[in-house]
Amino acid sequence: MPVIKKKLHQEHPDHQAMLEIMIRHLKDKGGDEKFPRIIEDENSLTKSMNVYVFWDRFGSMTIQERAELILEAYENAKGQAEALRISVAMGLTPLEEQTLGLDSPSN
Amino acid sequence: METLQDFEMAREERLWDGVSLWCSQRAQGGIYLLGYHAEMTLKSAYFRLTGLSIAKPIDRYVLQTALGKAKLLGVSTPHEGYHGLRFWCDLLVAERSARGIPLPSPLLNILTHQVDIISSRWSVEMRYRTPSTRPLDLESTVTAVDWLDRNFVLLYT
Repeated sequence: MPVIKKKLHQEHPDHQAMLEIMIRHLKDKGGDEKFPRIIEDENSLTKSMNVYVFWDRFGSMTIQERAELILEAYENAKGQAEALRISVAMGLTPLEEQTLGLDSPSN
Repeated sequence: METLQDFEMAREERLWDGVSLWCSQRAQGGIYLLGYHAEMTLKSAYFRLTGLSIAKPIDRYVLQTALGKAKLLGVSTPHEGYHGLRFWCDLLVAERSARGIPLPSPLLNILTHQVDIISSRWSVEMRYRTPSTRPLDLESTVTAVDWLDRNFVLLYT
């Protein structure tokens, strides 16, 4: 049996594909695609924001992978300064959205 | 789930718990609780810097976002189960720099020095260990924690 060297930080196999889709959506080029649904909750006092991303493809990703994806997408689409404004990057599946009882405007 | 406000109130409590043990010369216990105060000071400073609402629970989403930001900013310090003092210090420093409000060099040097003093003497695991802490370690930790506490607001403003 060959020895398999496990990498310390293995990127999720869907990471790149999902990143490109999210960047496209952040640049308002998502078209009629239902997901990802991105909600920015701004805090006018602190100039920070909570970002909620609802996506059925998040199911196989850990919370950390989802947060990293969201932050990387913002950095690529809008610059690092905008990504740093995010105080919470929450990636949720539609089922988790229902379970947590989060209200989100429909498209 | 604790909010940032809960966190900061607990931070104050751990300080006085630690001071109480310092007065009793209980070195291991004193450092253990003062170390938690230091951890909460650095975490709170970071979350205040990033604009987290004081009513927001510090849940796994908040913590994972912080880890995501660390990756974004190139902070590779181990987070040690989210308790790592050096991690929170390095992340705070990196985020301030990226936002264009770096800590002045003298303050940065003292901050990293104080964090190193506490880190070399405190760990979450010390609760499982027999006392191996010297009175001098306690004194050094008290001095470093006192500095962090007095300069808490400067860390995020």
